[in-house]
Amino acid sequence: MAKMQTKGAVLTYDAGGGGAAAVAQIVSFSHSGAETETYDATTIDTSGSGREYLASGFTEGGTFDFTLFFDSELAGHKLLTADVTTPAERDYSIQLSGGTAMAFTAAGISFGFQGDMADGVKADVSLKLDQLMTYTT
Amino acid sequence: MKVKFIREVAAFASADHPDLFERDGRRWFPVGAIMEDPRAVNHVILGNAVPADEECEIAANMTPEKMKTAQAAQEMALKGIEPEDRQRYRNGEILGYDEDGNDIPGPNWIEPDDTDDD
Repeated sequence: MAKMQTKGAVLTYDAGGGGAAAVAQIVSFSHSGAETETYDATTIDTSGSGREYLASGFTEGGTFDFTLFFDSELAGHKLLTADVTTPAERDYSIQLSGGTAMAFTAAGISFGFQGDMADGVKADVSLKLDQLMTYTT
Repeated sequence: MKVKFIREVAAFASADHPDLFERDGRRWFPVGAIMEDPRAVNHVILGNAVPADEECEIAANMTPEKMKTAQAAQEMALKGIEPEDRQRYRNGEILGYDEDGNDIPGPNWIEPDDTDDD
């Protein structure tokens, strides 16, 4: 049992030919929305008042979102915006400090950036997972 | 387009190269491996590799100094060095972080001032 530190985590992507390169200047990340799909299996003769749910057998992969200090001249950040202008699937991997790498494929990307007088310019990136992340099991 | 890796580079499942080796449950390109791929120039631009043919040299269009800067930036990114610690890393004060997120002291490590409440 351990409490994993966010500090030292590394997000990498396939920069070409299956070789990984790290995405720089990330300040936060989150993976959410992964869930097994269910359907309402309640029928009029269901006993009791509780609705019944069953698994459809499919699982939604969710998204992987991260925020970074955006540098429009940084090659690694240009690679992200290139995927916005020229849609392409890309392999990613998140390595938590002291943990094993968990890989996933992004089918699509959402990108935006914002500035604030009291902060640096930051970009929010959201990756739509194709299938599922390879969780450490 | 060909590049030559200057560091061990983690490989994704799509990677297909005769020199790949396994470590810690993951496959890696070794230092010196030559990759031929239409997007290989990205590894030069991102600081993982140097050009290994003229096509890549032209595509990268980088001076040796620019390549050095990209390589240093990639090294810090791969080690998960946080933006506020970059200068300390460049100064040799830290080498990275341990599994608990504590600094790994470098050759120019400076003991933190315990009296500083900030």
